[in-house]
Amino acid sequence: MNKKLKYMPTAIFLCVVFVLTTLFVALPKSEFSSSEKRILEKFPETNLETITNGKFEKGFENYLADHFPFRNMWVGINTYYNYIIGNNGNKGVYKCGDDYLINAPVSSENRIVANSQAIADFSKNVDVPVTVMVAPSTGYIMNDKLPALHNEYIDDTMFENLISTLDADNNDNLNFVDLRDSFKQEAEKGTQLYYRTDHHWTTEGAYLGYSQLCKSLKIKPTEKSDFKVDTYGGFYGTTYSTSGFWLTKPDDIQVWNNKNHTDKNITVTITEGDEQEKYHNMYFLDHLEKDDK
Amino acid sequence: MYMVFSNLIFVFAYLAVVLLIYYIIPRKARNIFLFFANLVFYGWGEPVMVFLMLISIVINYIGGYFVEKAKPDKSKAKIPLILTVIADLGILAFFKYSGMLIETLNLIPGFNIPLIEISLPIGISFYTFQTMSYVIDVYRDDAPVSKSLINFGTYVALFPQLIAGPIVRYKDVAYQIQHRQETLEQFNKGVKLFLVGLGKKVIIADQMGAMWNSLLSNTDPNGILGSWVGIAGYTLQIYFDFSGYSDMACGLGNMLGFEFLKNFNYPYISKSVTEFWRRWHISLSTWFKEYVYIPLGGNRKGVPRQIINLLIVWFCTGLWHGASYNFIMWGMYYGLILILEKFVLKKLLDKLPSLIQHLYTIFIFMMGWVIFCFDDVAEMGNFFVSLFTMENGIISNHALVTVVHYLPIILLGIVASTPMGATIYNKFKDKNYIWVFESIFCIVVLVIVISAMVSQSYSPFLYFRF
Repeated sequence: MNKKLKYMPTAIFLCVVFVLTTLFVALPKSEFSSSEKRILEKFPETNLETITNGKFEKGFENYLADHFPFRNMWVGINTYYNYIIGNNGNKGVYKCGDDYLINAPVSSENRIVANSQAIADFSKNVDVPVTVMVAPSTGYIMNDKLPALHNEYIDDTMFENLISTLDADNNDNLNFVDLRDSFKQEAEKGTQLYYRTDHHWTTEGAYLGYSQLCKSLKIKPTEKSDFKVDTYGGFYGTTYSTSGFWLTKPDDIQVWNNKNHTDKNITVTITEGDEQEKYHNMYFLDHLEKDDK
Repeated sequence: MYMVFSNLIFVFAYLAVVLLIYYIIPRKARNIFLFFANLVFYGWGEPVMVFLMLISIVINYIGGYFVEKAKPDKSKAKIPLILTVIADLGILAFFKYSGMLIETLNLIPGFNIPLIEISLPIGISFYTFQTMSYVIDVYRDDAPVSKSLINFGTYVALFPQLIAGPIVRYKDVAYQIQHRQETLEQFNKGVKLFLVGLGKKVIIADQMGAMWNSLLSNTDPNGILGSWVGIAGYTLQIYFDFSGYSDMACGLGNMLGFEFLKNFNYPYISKSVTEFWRRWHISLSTWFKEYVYIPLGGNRKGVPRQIINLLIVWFCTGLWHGASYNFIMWGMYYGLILILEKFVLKKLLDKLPSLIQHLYTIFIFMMGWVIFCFDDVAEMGNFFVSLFTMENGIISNHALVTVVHYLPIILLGIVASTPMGATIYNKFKDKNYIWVFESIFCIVVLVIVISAMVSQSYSPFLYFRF
C-alpha cells in the first residue's frame, strides 16, 4: 500500500482549512441574507482604537461568520444532523408529519398576563365595545402532525388566563372570541388552516377567524362563494427560515378576491405622518414576485 | 471574546495563516514568529491584558537569570526566587482573587472596602503556574536557565496551552523550544489528535452543555430522574470540554513540532478517587505535588503532618479553579475523601467487587461536580435535595423531552469516556487500510463541526411577534 496514504488526514485537514479560508477571502460578499432577513455584517473599522478595545475583533468574527462560504448549506447540514441523531427541534422548530415545520411552544414565562390586563384596562377607559380574538398556535391545533416527543403547548393555560383576566371585572364592554373549538373542528376536516413553513394562518384560517368574529359581532360574513381564489406557489415562511430544513416542500399562498370588489369601488388609504397614499387592494400583489412573499 | 479553538475565527483565519507562515519561514525564524503569533492569539480577546502577560514574562525571565547567577550559593539564590514567586502570586491574587478577598473582609463588621471591578485576564491561572514552575525548576537545578527572552516568552505564551492548559513545565519543553524538528509524521498525528479534541468539544461537550442549560433554566422542576440525567450531562460536558481542549492543545503542539504530556487518562473509569486524581487534569495535580506537597514535607514528616499537607494542597487546588467558596468546598471535599481513602477506605474498597468500586467512584465525582457547578450555595443545596427526594415526581414532561432528544449523545459520551475506542483503534492502526477509516473520521468530524460552528451565528430576524 502506498506509504503516502497514511498522511491523508493531513491532506484532508489542510485542504479543508485552506480551501474554505481562500473561498472566504475570494468570494464576493452579499449584503443581505434573504433567509435571515437581516443585513450581513460589513468589514469592521480598522484602527488602533477598535483593535485595542476589542471592537475590531468582534466585528471581524461576525464578518467571517456572516460570509462563510456555503453558509446556508452548513446550517442545513447542522439541522438535518441534529434531526437524524434524535434532536428534533434543535433550532426551535419541529419537523412534523406531512411536511409541516411547526414552532416549538412558547415558554410558560411570557407576557400573557400583563398584556391581557392591559386590554382589560383599555376597555374600561373607552366607550366603544372591545372585542378580543387570539389565534391559537399551530402546534396546539395541528397536534397530530407533531413528532411523538415534543414540549407541551400551553395554549389552554394561556387562553384560560386571558379569559379569566378579561372576565374579572364583569365588563359588558369586553367580548372574547374563542377560536379553539372552531379551529380544531375545521382542522379535523382536513382544511389547511396554517402554513406548513410559516407560523401564520393561511387565508382559509383567516377566513375562519373572520367568520367567527362576524358571528360574535352579529355581522353577516361574506360567503365563501363570493370569493375568487388565486393560488401562488413557492412560498417559504418563517419556520422554514428559522429551522434550516431546506429540503421541505414550499407552501401555496391563496389570495381570496371578493368578486364584487373592483378597482372602481374599493379604495385603501394609507396615512404615514402627513402623507397619504391610495391603493385599490389590501394586498401588495407585486410582492408575490419577490423573494420574501 | 477571546479566541477559542472551536470557533470559525480560529480554524479558518488564525490557524490557516499561522500554519502557512510557520512552514514557509526558515527554521531559525520560527520561534520569534510563534512569539508574535501567540500575542495575537491572546490579544485577540484581551488586547490590553497582553501587556500584563508580557510583564509577567519579563519578571520571571529576570528572576530566572538572577537565580542562576546566585546559584552555587543556594541561600543567596533563594532571594530572587522568593521575590519572583511573590510577584507571580501577587499578580494572580490581585487579578483573580481581589474581589473574593474584599467581599470576605467586608463580612467583618467595620470593614467596608469598595469593590473594584477587575476583569479576570484569560489564562492567568495557567501562565502564572507555568512561569512559577520555571523559576522554581531553575533554582532546583531541574531545568536549564533560558538564554533567550524570545524563547522563554514563546514557552510561556504558547497559544495551544495558553488558555486552558495542560500546564507545561519548562523542563519538559526546554529542549524542544530550541531543538525540535517538525516532521510530517508528527504533524499527521497532531491533525488526528486535534480533530478528536474538536469532536469531543463540539459534538459531545457543547451538546451536553445545551441539555444541562435547558434543564437548569426550566422553571418547573425536573423531577428526580431529570436532575440525575442533568448532572450526568454536566459530568460529561466538563470532561469532554476540558479533555477535548487538552487534546486540541496537544494536537496543535504536534503540528508545530512539540510533544506535550497527556492531561487526561480516561478518569471516569477509575475504581477509586485516588485513581481518579491520577487520571484527571494530570498536569495540575503534578504541579501541586511538585511545588506544594513535596516542599511542605509530603509524607516524610509523619502522619499528622501529611494530613495537614494534603488539606493545604487540596484547599489550594480548589481555590485555583475559581474565586468562589464553592471551589474551596470542592477542593476540601476531595481532600477529605482522599485522606479517608488513603488511611481507611482503600483496604475496604480493594475487597469489594469491581462494579461497586466503579459505582462508588462515579457517585463521588458526580456529587463533586454538583459542588463545582453551583457557586450559589442555596442553589447547590436545592439541587442536592432534588437528587435525593421524589417531591417533584420522577421526571417532568419538559425534562423527559429534553433528555430523550439528547440521549444518543449521552450514550456516545458514556462510551467515549472509556478506552474502548482507543483500544479498537490500536488493534488496527498498523494495518494498510487504516488510512481509510482515519480519513472518514476526519471528514465526518469536520463536516459536523463546521456546520455546528456556522449555525451558531445563524440568527434569523423574523417578524416572529407578528
